[in-house]
Amino acid sequence: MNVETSPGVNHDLKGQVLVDTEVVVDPDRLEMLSAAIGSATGKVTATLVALFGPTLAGQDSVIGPLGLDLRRTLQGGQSYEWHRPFRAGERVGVTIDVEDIVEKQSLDLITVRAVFRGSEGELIQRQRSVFVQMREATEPSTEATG
Amino acid sequence: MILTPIPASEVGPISRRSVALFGDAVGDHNPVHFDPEFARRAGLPDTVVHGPLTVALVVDRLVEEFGAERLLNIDVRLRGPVFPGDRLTVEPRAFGEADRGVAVCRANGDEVATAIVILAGDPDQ
Repeated sequence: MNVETSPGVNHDLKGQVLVDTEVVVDPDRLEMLSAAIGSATGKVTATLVALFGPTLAGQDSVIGPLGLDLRRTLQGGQSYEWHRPFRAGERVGVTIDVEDIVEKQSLDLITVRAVFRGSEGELIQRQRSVFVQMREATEPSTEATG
Repeated sequence: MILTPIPASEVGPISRRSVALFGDAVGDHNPVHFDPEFARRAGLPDTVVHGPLTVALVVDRLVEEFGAERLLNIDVRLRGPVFPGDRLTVEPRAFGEADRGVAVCRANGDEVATAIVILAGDPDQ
């Protein structure tokens, strides 16, 4: 495989907040998510996984600043800590930061954390997303999946 | 310590339409999920299903079994690619004495994810 090299992960962003904003839980997107899940319980499940931190403010809000090269980056982990479901149409606050960046052999492991709060400041959900990027222009890891 | 058992279940087949809907719903338009040529250039045989979609499908099995109100936490390690058309099995798995969860496998037996699950009502919760 031939891939171009790129500057690599921006380790200076470790510990930095990348996004601090408010978003509306879009009912249409909830419907799409429910359809993607495609089950009788999809509507309920959609309210638990409605927002994905790393892309909710656009791909350039997290992926770009971190210097992730999509040709050699896959997702290696995802966690959710639920305090309540999202509600269709509600406005929620979200803070996204880079919890950690670890070098491991030829990989960079990047942990992005997203914290969602309701209009009263109550905690709705915490997420962690772990991305795995090859530091060299070689085959992608079979440890990661996308 | 007695943890609530998680029954085995199946997911899929995961359609390309589901992948497209998920990408639009969460704003993840990474071409590795949609463009077969991009995926091949990245060394993959086909586009891959979003990891969070696989996670959402596993969460959905748990919602169906236990109800959303009992789900407190899931911590998923994505271990291998999932491709459009895959059927997945979700099987109970213990991770030591205190943690329990599931292992997710493709039809060919490849383990693609493991997840530690915490439910309300379990000891210490």
